[in-house]
Amino acid sequence: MTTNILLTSTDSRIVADPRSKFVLLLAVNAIAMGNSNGWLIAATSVLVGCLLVADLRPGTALSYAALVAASAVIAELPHHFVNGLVVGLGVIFHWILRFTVSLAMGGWFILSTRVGDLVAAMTAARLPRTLIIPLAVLFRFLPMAIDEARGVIEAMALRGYRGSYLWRHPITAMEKLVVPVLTASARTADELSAAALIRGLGSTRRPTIVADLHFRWIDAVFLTLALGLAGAAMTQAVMR
Amino acid sequence: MTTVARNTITSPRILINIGVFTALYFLFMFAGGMLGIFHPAMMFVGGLISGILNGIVCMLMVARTRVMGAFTVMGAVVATLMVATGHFWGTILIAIALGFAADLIIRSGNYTRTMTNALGYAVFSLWGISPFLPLFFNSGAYLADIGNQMGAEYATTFERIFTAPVVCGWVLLSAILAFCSALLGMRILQRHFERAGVA
Repeated sequence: MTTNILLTSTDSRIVADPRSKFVLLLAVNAIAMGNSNGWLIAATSVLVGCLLVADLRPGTALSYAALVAASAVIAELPHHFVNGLVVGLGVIFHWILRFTVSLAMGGWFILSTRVGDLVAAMTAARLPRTLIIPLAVLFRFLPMAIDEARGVIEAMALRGYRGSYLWRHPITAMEKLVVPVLTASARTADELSAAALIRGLGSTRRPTIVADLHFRWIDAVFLTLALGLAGAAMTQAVMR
Repeated sequence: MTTVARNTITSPRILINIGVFTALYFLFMFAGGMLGIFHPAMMFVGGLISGILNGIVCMLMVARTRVMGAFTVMGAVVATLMVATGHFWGTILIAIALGFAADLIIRSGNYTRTMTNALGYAVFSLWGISPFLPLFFNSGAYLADIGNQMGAEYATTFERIFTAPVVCGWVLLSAILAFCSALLGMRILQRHFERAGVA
């Protein structure tokens, strides 16, 4: 399940450059995690909702809308009833609202972006190789690591290391899990680097980008939205 | 004719190793975080478990890379993924800074001393607080808003929960736990990996 999420894109309808999507994500993130309030946070949550509706299953968007609306109502309660419990709940749901908006935006970014496009966009953005290569390796290796860990857990269960054993000897159980996974991973790392060196990963020239990255009208929309959100957040901060 | 330098942060072998261990780091971190779904209190247990597992992962990474910058890159990659999944944007800056500090500490022990390795991992692990930092900084605005209406009493009570002593306590506790798990990691490293020739 996780492997599918990370490796292949779903049939996303919005085709945009990952760079402009990331700029929009940063703007949403800064607003949700900052202390802007009122209509701005409402507008941001609606924007994220629209992206979810456009790109993901409607069910996801529906539960997002329900969660945001419920949290907004509860966060508003302390303005009307005043006691300790209500204020406590208000603080908690104030943050649940913001984290929901921000995490939903992140979920949209990850689900609607193919790993190949992301790496290509990072290369095109001239980010250092020291960042791009580990990230590309991570995406390539993560499904293998999950498989490896699952295999070791199955083998442990087969030999009786399961259920209550894990709770009675947690440290030993962790050792029995991690040591084989790490040994296998270290071997895989060696094989990967040998294969990658043969394919020219060590060369100093920049790789040619195969992915189709160019500026589309939707990128202009995203960048305008990001600029608008950033501007609104700044105005709100100055006005306060 | 260009020669590929063997042990610098830019050599592909090192970068691939960092990528592989960062994948494991991310996997164990995520698996620990998933426990939080069952019960909020399990989040702390999950954090503890993933801290211990990742102590072992990071110690093996240090043993296999032995370069300046390994933790900086690991911090940058993990934090980029955290921000891409919607966590606090400042995480990137904090994780890179802490990773660099960890690299300096670990280098001072020539990548082999148990104490400096463990201290480096403890410092690096502190980045885990940064996704929650907005809770500490920005709850004040919401509470001040309520405080306007009903007197500052409630607001100050809640502000006290979200401030310095709590953050410091959290920092201290997670640093100590990370230090201990790195010590465990070094022991496992010596017991299993050095003998087998993996490290």
